Amino acid sequence: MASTDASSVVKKKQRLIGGLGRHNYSGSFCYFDSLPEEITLEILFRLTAEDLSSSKCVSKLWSSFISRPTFGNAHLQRQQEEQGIIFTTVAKPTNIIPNYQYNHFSISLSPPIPPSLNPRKELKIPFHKLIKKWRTSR
Amino acid sequence: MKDSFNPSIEPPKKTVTLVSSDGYDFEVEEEVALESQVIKDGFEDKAVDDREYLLFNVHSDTLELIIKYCEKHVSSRKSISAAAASSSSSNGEEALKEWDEHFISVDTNTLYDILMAADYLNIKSLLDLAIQKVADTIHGRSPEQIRKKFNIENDSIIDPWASE
Repeated sequence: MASTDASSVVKKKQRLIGGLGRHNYSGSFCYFDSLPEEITLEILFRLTAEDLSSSKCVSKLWSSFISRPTFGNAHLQRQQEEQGIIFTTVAKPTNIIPNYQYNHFSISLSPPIPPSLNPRKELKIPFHKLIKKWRTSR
Repeated sequence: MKDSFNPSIEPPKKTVTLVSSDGYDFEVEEEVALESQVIKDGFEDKAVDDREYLLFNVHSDTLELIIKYCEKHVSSRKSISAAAASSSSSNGEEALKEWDEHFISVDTNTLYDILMAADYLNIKSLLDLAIQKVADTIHGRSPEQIRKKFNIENDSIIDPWASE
């Protein structure tokens, strides 16, 4: 089996000088926010609720993916056999609080969810206080 | 007629030529190339002497890695099923997992290239491996660390929910 590890198996000779004329680069153009949407979603689906909260602050694009009403459901489906789920409550703006209020909860699925569906943990978003903490602790 | 051949030489395996975006030829065995769903689809419709694929989106450095991955998986699958057939114990799957883990431990740029190539060529197991690697890398990092790691521009300066 070791012989297949040798890179000499691959035959390589440049035939078309100048290449095929497109995407003629390697490495230096790496922008993970330009990944195809389905790949980004697939990455986000595999994150835990805690990791999603920090990912939400990474960029507007990622935030918009995670904030989609359908995201929580899809994430739930993907994580059913795994560690837990996340769900979001939305409160409409009021006179006192002019913005939409989002609360994210995560539930551990092992042991199985109790019938009362008690949230195990509330994730506060935005995490500006936590981020401040991160920044000052560095 | 048969006597003129050396019996110890195996018949030549069928090969496919993959051409990378920067114009390199890679001659690989058919079954290795067929790991890619894109190549597999419509493979039978192509004439045997015309089995050449121009991969516009895959650089030769990346293609070399991809081929290595496919060759490893084809050969491992064979040895795993051979071990299963002779009902001898084998840690082939465990070893392959370890090999995968080592294979995907690359810098962020390479990981990005592998992700894009695996998506383009539709190699499901490799795409899965790369996506999991990104997810694992994100795990436990702060937004700033994630941005830095993956070259993501910080465009979310305004926090709509900030109370201040």
